[in-house]
Amino acid sequence: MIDVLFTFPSPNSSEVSMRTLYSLFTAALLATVIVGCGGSEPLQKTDTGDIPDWYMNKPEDPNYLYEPATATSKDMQLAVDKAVQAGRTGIGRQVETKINALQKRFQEETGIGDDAQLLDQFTQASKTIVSTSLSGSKEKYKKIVKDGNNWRAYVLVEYPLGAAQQALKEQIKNNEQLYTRFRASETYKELDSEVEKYEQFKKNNAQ
Amino acid sequence: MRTLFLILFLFQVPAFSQQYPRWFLYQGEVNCRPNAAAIVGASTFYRDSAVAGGFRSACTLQAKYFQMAVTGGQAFWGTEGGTFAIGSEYAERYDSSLVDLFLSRFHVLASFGDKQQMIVLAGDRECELSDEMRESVSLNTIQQPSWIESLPEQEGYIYGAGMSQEYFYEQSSWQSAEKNSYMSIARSIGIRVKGMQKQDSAEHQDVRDEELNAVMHQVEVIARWRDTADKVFYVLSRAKK
Repeated sequence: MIDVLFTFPSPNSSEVSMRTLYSLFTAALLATVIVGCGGSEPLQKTDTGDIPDWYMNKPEDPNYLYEPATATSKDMQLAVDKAVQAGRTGIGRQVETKINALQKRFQEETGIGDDAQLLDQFTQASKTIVSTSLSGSKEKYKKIVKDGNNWRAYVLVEYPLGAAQQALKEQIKNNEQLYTRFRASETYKELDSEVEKYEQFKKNNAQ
Repeated sequence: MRTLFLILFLFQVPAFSQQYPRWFLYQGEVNCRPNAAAIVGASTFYRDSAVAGGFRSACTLQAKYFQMAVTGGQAFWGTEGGTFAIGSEYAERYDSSLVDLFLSRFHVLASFGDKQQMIVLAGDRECELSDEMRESVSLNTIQQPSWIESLPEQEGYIYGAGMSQEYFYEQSSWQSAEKNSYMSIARSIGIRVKGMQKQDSAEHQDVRDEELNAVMHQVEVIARWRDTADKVFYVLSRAKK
């Protein structure tokens, strides 16, 4: 077998082509071995200096909800759209958590859990607030960087918390039954106070 | 010879302008109000024809920006492997009868043309553009504006910044960035976001959907900038609250 592999007869046309074939096969085998043993390229790193500080350390402000988000795409605007929507969805979840907590306090304090119709009306009011009151949200900060072959967008979405509380208060006031039941409660008084603070905050910012 | 010509043709890089008139880069500072700037294709033979076409586009743009309704939405699906776009669909509505009104009220305040595009600024017939705004500004002399990363805040207005990657035709880059800027404003005005997360021991999925329904009034472009290093085009717009 080895003799066949390493002994080359005197050249003629078919034997030359066989020799060429052997040479090509050996070269291909060697190339495969070299590439395979060469090791994989290291994972591409994003320079940590590119990550904005406001993304790592979310701002704190009692009047606003903040949600940082990031996304990648080969298309730059799509990267921004993905990140902004992720930020707004996160804010929606924060608002829902706060409204659900408020709803639970109303339930406990006023006992509307026994009144299925009233509870249903209040639940509907809360759900409406969560899904529509993101009007007023905006991209406070935005940064675009290259991440390998993609664009990476970092965004910080801001939403005034007082707007959601104000919308909830309006929803309650528009429902006579709910308003009658809630207006004397401590929870409603706190909500009223928060909305007044928000309105004062808006006036101060306008000056 | 043919090979050389083919190589030169394939590797031809479009030469984008490095200088723009001040009224284009700082449109919010133009003394004539209202005004609109349209970016159209470069003149092929008669420059006046390109300017006339640009003027009509500017009047159409002004009619759109006077009052525009945007509806639609987009959805994304997030998985362990990344976030994918499911789809998007938007519709813009405006009163097209206003185009004729602005065609009669406006005139060409200034124009700027190069090999790539023709930019026409249109404004009220009784107004003349100041000499300061006609000056040429080189992009090399401008640092990255602060509004790229942080939107301005002004009582009575909603700001939005849009960006675009570089396309072969520079006008497409500017138009895309301008559209993205007013879509950003629309999302601040009227948006409903829905999201559902699903998580089990093996994976995490997140489906997000947004519905847009906004009416914008008196939209205007305030500023433009181009990052020549990263090849990104930026436009800042605002609308009245």
